[in-house]
Amino acid sequence: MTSGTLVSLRDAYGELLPELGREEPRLVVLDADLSTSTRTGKFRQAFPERTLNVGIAEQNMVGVAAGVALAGGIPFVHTFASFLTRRAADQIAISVAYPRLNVKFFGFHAGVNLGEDGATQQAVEDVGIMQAIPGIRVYAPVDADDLVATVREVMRTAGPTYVRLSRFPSPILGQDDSTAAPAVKALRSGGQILVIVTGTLAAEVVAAADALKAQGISVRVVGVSRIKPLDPSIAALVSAWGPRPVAVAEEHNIHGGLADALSSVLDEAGVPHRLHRFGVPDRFGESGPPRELLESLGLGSRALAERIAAIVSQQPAQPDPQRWEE
Amino acid sequence: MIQRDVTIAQLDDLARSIRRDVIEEIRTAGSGHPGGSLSCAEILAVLYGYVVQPGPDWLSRPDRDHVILSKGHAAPALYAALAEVGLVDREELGTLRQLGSRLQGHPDVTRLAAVEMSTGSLGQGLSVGVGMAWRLRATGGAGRVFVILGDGELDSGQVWEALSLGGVLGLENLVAIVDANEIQNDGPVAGILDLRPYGPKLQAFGWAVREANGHDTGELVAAMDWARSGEPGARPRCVIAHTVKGRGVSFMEGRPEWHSHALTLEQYERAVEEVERR
Repeated sequence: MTSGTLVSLRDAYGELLPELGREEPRLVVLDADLSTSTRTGKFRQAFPERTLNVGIAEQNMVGVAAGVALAGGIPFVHTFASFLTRRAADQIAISVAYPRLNVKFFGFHAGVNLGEDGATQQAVEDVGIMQAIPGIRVYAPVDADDLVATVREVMRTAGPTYVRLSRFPSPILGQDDSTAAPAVKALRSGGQILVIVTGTLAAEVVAAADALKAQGISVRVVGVSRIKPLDPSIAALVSAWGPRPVAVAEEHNIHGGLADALSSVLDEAGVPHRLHRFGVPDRFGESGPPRELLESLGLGSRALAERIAAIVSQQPAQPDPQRWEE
Repeated sequence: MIQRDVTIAQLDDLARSIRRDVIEEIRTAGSGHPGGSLSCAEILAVLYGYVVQPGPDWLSRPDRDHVILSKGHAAPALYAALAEVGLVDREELGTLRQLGSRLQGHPDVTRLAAVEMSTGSLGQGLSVGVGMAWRLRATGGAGRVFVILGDGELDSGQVWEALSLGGVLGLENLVAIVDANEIQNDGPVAGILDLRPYGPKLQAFGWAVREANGHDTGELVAAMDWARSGEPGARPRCVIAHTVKGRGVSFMEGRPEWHSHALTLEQYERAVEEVERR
């Protein structure tokens, strides 16, 4: 889609699902009384016999998905990220991941999207829960185009996966650097600070980078949609960045998310690092308009711009800009 | 290998062999759950020896029946049944709970396909059975799904979510078998979360219910024939099998401490003698 077009991930998903259903007759859709939010309606209209709404019973839904997979189906499991990963964590681990079943989980309204509803409906720990369970691939697409590519990758990959989606229309970000590895999306080029971001928070980081450019601060923004397994090329990218500052931005607890995953990959690769963590500071969310809530957590574009500028201003005299590749 | 035509005496022999294997396995392993393994010996004997009768090609047959041992701690009895019908080598029973063994403390389908599902976190198996039965019905599959639960396991809320959905969907190809041995980890079910009588509750959830003496293979055969007939209508079936925890070994019968317990050499010898004599 055209860069800048506003599309919500869930709407893109709702359009894609019937298409996938036509391509893959084994695809089965499961919901737990949130199908209006999860946008599975068009699939249900096309394939009512391959759709099951189990009611408000997420643990049962995950077990039913395991049974569908054992009987040869490919279940797509839908509900809010919070209810799926918190309530059904044991079922996800023992009924799906342990037997390595081909179940595809989709967690909607992740992060603090459900602003006014408050902490109970928000998910600031879903990535942490899912990536701590052995064998689950974890994704947080950065825009609707990325979501489509991600779901297609999920379909091609046998075994359990988790895709984190957000609620609101967010811009198609495009990519301004076609030489980057596919797993790592170059969203903005710059030389003073590298921000690695996952999920639709990427739009906030890009907006902050664009605002800072006008102030003469040059921010490189890289998007990562597959958190587990994290593409190892990210270690070379950080290594080549040298001593310049690196930040990780995610609409998730600073613990258990992309920053931890990245730190782990850098440790494995022997790349010394210090990551500035732009995430939810180990607290639950709260009620409030989503944008205001995001800003209050330091994750809206205005707050991010301030935080990035503060880090850049504290840097010692910049090394020769020619010395380190961009 | 069990033959198609099977007698009650053969099923009783099979149950006796399962019990003997269970004692052997847990003695060798040095830990395990004898009480709940011994209580379901006849249930497994009737399922594998009469209903499913798995041949060597069982796992590759699309029209086959399925068995999920939701009460995964009875794994020694399941492994014994699989060994008796030729799906596990008898020598392998001696590896139970050892590092690298296919015979994990609780069933692991990735190591041993014949167990069909990994279980052990109680309360999860019936949901899996509902999903399988729904999918089989939707795709015209001929097989049935049998899920073995413990009565203590009925404490778990997820079981009632699965019972609700199974009843609403009217899954006539789903058969739940409750090994009602009346004892759970902490003591008698009656003193913990007494949900008896189960029958009226299950019927209220849309299930066809039949009770049986879970140590009488003849009664279990009749119950399985009923479950596989059209008589219960478009409803999932549940057989409540009344059993005795630790059945077959006098010093284990009805004793909560034998839920999870190792056997001394003396206990082992006495248990084997009792099981073989009965």
